[in-house]
Order: sequence, then C-alpha cells, then structure tokens
Amino acid sequence: MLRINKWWLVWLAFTLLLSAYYTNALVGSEKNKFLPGKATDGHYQIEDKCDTCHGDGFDDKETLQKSCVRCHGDELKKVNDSHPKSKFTNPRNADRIAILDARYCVTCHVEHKTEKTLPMGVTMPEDYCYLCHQDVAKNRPSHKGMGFETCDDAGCHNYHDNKALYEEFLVKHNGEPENLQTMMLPEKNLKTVFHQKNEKYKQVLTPKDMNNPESVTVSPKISYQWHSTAHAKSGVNCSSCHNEKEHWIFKPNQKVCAECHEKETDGFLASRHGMRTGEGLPAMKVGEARLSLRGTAANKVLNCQSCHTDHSFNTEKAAVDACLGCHEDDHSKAYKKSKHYRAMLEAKSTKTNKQGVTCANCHMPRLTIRENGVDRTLVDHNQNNTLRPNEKMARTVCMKCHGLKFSLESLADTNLINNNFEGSPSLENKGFAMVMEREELKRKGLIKDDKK
Amino acid sequence: MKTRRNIISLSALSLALIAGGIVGCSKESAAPAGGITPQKMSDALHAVMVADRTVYTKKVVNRLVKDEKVIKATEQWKDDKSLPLPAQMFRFGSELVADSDANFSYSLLSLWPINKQNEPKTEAEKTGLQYIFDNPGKNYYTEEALGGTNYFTAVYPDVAVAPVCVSCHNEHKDTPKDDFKIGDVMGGVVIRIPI
Repeated sequence: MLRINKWWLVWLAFTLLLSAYYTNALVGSEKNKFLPGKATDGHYQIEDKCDTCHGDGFDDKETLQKSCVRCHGDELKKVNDSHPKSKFTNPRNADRIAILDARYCVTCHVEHKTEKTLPMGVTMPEDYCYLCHQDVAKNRPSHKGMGFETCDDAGCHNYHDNKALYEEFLVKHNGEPENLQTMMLPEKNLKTVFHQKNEKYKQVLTPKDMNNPESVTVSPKISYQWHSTAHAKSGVNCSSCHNEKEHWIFKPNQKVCAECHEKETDGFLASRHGMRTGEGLPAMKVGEARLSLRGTAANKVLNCQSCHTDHSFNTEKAAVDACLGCHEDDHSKAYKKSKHYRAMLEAKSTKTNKQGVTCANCHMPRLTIRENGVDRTLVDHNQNNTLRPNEKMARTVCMKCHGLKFSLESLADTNLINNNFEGSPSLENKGFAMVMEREELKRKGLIKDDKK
Repeated sequence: MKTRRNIISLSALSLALIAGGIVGCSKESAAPAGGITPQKMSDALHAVMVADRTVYTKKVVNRLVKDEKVIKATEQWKDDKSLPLPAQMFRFGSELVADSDANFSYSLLSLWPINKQNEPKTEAEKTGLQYIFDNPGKNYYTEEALGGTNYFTAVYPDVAVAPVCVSCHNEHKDTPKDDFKIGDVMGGVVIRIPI
C-alpha cells in the first residue's frame, strides 16, 4: 500500500489554497494584490484594471506609450506641448535618446515607484534639461550659474505646458496690475448654442407639460425643481432624460447627460472624479479616495448627480457646496473666508455685474472653444487640466481677473495657496526682469554684443 | 496637408521601390534593377519640400505680410492670430512625418540658427552645412551611422527667397547674423533615409 507522508498532503493543500486565492484575485476584482508598488495619485483610481495601461502584455513599451497618449495625448496637444515625441524621433537626436529616451512618457514618469514619486504625483529625473540645454547661459547670460534642477521652479519653465511662460507672453503682460480693470469670467452659453442649433430648445415648459407616464408619480418638489431649471426653459421634458428605448429609467446615468453635455461629460470621465467610470469600473466612492476627505461623505458615489443634484441641477451649489461637502483640506476650509468668496457674496447682494469666484471657477474653469466659427463657453470638468503644475491655471483662470506676474507669484506661494490667497505673494518672479532686460538690450541694438 | 500628402505618397512609392531591390548605397550609389537610389529619392523629396516652402513663403506670407500688409506672420501665431512663419510651417510638416511611419526624416538646420537646437550636431551636418555655404548651388551627400542605423544623408541649401525671410531673421532677438540678403544660403535642409 502506497504510504504518503502527511506533510506532503499539507504542502499540496496549502499550494492549492494559495493558487486558488491568487487565481481568484487575478480574474476577480482584486488585481491590486499583484501591484509591484502603489500607483500614483493620478492612477490609483484605475489600478484594478491593469490592461488600461498595460494592454495584454507587460513588457511592451509601445503599448504603454499608446495608453499614455490615449488619455493624455489631447491634453498635451491643446497646450502646444513644448517637447512632443516628434522632436526626438529624428535620428540626429539618437545620442540624446540613448541617455534619456524622451520619445516615451515612462522614461521620466515611472509608475508604481512610490519612493520616487514627487508631490506633484509623478516621478521625474532631477536635471533632465541639462542634456539638451547645457549651454543655455551662452545665449541667456541671465541664466548663468542657475542649477538645472531649478529650471522647472514655479513660474519659470515647464517641460510640456509653457502657454503662460514663454518670453513674448511675459513681455506682453509685463506691468499688468494685480487686479485687472475688467475682472470677468466668460459667460457660459450652452443655452444660446442649443437655441441656435434647434428651435425645439426654445420651448419653455411648465409643470402641466410634464410627460411622465401615469405609472410614475412626480412629487411637487421634483416638479418645482425641474420647472425652475434651464432644462424646463429649454424644452427638456421628463422623457428627454428618463426614457430609454420607450422604457422609463429612474436613475439616468452619465450617458444620458452626455446627449446634451457631451464635452462636459467627457471631461468628467477623464477627471479624478470620473475616471473609474470612464474605464468601465464601478464609480468611485468618496471613501476610496486617497485624499483625506470628509468621513460623512465616505459612501457618496461620484457621478454627475453627486454634484449636480437632481432635479434642481443647481450649478451654484455644484460649484461650491458640492466641493466643500467632501474636501476639507486647509485650502478648501479657508475658502469661505477668502476674498474670492467675499466677492461672490458682494456680487450677489449688490446684483451688479461684479463676479465672485467659486471653487469650480478655478478648478473646473470655463473654457471658450471655437468650432466652425462659433464660440462655445463651457465648464472643463477635468480638473487635471489646471491642477499640477499649477502655473497651468495662470492663463486659463487667474488672468481673467489678475495680472500675469501677480498670478504666477501667487501660484508659487504655498502659504497663499493654503490660506486661499489671503495676503500678498511673498516671492518675486524674476523671469519678468530677465525678459525686459533683453527687450531693452534689443532696443539699444546691444543684444548680439551681449551674446559674444 | 497637401505637403504632407505629397511627401508621404512620394516616399511610400519610393520606399516600395527601395524595398524591392536596394541593398546598400554609397555617395554615388548605383540604382538597383527596377529601383531608384536613395539620392534620387531624397532629391525628389526635397523638390516637393522646397516647392511647397517657396509657395508658402512667396504667395502666402510675403504677399499678405509685406505686400498687402493685411496680417502678420509671427512665432506665436496661435496667440497672435497670425500666420505661422515659413520655417515653422516647414517644421510642422517635418513633425507630422516624424509621427508617421514614413521611414525618412528631414530637418531645417543652420550655421546661424535662431533656435540653438537647430545648429549642426553630427559630423555630416557640420560638414554638409559648411559645404553648401562654400559651394553655392551644390548639394552635399554622404552616409552616416546614428544610433546603430546607417543613413543616406543629404544636405540641400535653404535660400532666402523673399524679403520676409531676410527681414525676419535679421531682426530677430536671437539671430546670430543680421546681414542676410535675398539669395543668401541661410541654412540647409537635411534629409535622412535609413539604408
């Protein structure tokens, strides 16, 4: 009779159990057990779906690159990326890419390396500018002695987005006052665009026009909320959102919103709030966030209605109260004591054309997009576009009301950010003096002598 | 777009022919049976590039900026709502080709570049740019190895064809040379084809 050592049986059972556990994790929803390290702040939301970035294989650099471009490519194009891949594919740069292969995002931005990830949420080599710009002081004497680790100091240069930092822009906006004479955000104009698109959106509906089926009872509160909105004033009836292929749906999702608010929904699905939904994962819950948010909001699911509460869809509440319902960091907590908020209260009470500034005005700014000669001003729901590095906010947001120098200096001041801009910036942006000095030399015809 | 289409169509045709027979080439490499030499392909590509570049410079930029004075051409053309500079137009085409699988590359370099990233770097570029400056009307052909790949490299003179070329370069804050005249070689177009 075959005798089997009992320890072999224990080993076999243990192995089978372990295999079953990891197989279950691999095919189920706990793939994060296999993560080689924590994903960065911008990616942890989707870390359960490895193939979002890795595709079918794990060693293919091209697949990773395509994944980066799929989510971030448009954003880089929009900001006129100063260092696109096409700058490095020319064979004349072969020596450079042998040292730092700038054709691939992952050369600088490595994932799952918590120990190397910087506060901005990505990894970055320290002095990457040196390789191509080591002799910068020859043509820019003002840069002599500056360390290459300081190139991307706040308000100086960015590798990708220099929309508010290039020399001519600084010259053009030099000398602007802290507060511009006209301090106005662009007006949203979805209603006008829709009215131009189709006459049916000009129809103003009242509660007697509601077309909910008899089987669905609408409370007076909902009826009141709906008919007070732009929806009722633009011919958007109950069935417009609740009917899907003749069936009544009680909780329409973002696909329904996207039928009219496509760009806004796209922004949301690309944002930290909506990227899980965008990747086909269950919607993010507040309690799953890495940021320290309000415990009372932990079970809140992030979708369009989390901020735009149905059926009132109050955008004023969505722009402040919705944010402060979850965020309770120093900057958020200081908002209601800030000049921006006080200006909003004043604007409301005086009913002048003055404007205040909401959380959303800065973090989900209004963008004007020109398509076929028509300007559409909408809210960019992807807060990543202006979050980090925060100079990205200067042009899109701050400069609607403030001078460029004041904007850049304020954005570079951590204390000011924490107290929600109560006070004056403590740092001076020296870039303005540098560019104006060059302007003066050029005016005197001395600039070439300076370079010799 | 037209430039890009022309370039890509021509390169695709030429590359198909090259793939059909070329196994190597020299400065004066012989045409393989049924194919064309890298030099011929490069010359053809350059003919399209220089034609489109001249048309844009003369018939768009110089006409609207210098003659009609209805619009400006500036480096920050998007912000300024102006025309892209001819050199930018050329580079944008080059970057689109770089993003495709066209299997050749081109760049605009100069011994007096406004952007210092466009000064000659490789030995072939240094020798070639000096050669076309010293020998007006002539092109420079060679082969070079870069990043483990061998290339047929051609350098063609880039000549100031309109007043707007010289005024813009002579007046630019970052120009190392401010006495260009029409007809001068201001730089060179470098075309590389892997062999």
